[in-house]
Amino acid sequence: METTPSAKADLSATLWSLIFAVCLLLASAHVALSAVEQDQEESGLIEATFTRAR
Amino acid sequence: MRRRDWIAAAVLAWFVACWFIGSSRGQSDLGPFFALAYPDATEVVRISDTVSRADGPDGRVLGYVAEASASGYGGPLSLVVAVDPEGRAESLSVLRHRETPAFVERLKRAGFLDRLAGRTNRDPIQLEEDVDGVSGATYTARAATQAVRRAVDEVAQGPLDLPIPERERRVVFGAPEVVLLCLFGVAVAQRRLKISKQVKNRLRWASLIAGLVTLGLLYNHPFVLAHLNMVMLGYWPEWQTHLFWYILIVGVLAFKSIERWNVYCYDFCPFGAAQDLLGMIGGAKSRRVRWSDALIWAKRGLIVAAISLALIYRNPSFTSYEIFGTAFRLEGSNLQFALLASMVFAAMFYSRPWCQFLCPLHRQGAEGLFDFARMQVTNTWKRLRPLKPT
Repeated sequence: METTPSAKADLSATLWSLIFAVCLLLASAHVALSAVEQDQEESGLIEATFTRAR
Repeated sequence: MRRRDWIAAAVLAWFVACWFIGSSRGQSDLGPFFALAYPDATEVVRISDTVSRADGPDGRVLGYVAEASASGYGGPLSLVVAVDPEGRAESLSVLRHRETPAFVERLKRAGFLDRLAGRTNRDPIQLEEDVDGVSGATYTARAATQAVRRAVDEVAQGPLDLPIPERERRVVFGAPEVVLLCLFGVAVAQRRLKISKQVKNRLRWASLIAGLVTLGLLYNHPFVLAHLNMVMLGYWPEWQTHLFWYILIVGVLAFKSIERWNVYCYDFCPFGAAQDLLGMIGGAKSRRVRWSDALIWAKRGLIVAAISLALIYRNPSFTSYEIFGTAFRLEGSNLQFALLASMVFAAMFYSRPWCQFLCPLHRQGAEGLFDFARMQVTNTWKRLRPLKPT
């Protein structure tokens, strides 16, 4: 079956949308994970150690 | 007001609410943390807002623990410094920071904190004077040095009553600042000089390449969301040590207000230049995208979430999802590397995809909000201004 130019253009537009949607998901996941890490970091504050002078 | 204006107003109001939520969040109790500096102390007594005294079993003063902060690249960096009764920094620890974690890791790997421990109230404690810097983390190293100096001075001048030397406040003005001023100069020339379109185009390409090489690869000082968050959070660093930061922020905002032009994105953004170069290789062009409106609104939602979290946690940099450090320093999370790979591929066939669908500073992001705020201020001013007599 032959694909018409307009069907090709539609497919290309859909593929690009999917690529950018995945990129947005990756960025959102990074923000969400950073927030979780920040929360853990704040609660784990007093486990830090001191660097001593030699 | 149009629907879009109502949304912009609601977003600005939401940011104000997040700012108040962030400022009302309680701070952790630092008593147990301070006690770690002097494990033999029987009691750690707070003697001022920033200094505590560690008392030994026989009532003898073992030392003092001071908390001090200074501005790094992404925001304030706070250290806790244990100072002995002779005014010497015995030990120190990073209490909290707002830097890209890779910068702090770089300091630790280079043993930079070891270099700062042992300094006394008689030392200059100045980067590149008596303390060697760390390549690729200059701002973070300078902030740590400054914080130690402040902590030592605080204890020396306070409970110990020791003299401190007259310390010169050096203005840091070097190659990055000169390059940035030149880039702004080229942008002004493009708009103000009567030159042909061809010459303008060549100038733009020259400044884009210069931006990629200097702001991107050489200094890794791009304009990031964290800079705007710092402004909103009121973290204004000292101008003497952060001239680059001030030139960038003031220059971009002034250009946007006077020329109504986003000079950074179009004239010298290093990642914009990288996308343009990739586009030349693959023959990138503007392409049709399905659900383009939905993608733009999803990007706006992401930006609002990133800024809101930064305001609530009072940390300007941790939600910066930009991939500039990943691209130019190969640092970042796995997700950022995956994002970078997708963007490198997309930029070869699609014109500036990052700018359109992800960049928080672009037209559909912070720039759009700035335009809205400026329009509101201008309209209000026009309404309030008394009419000229005819």
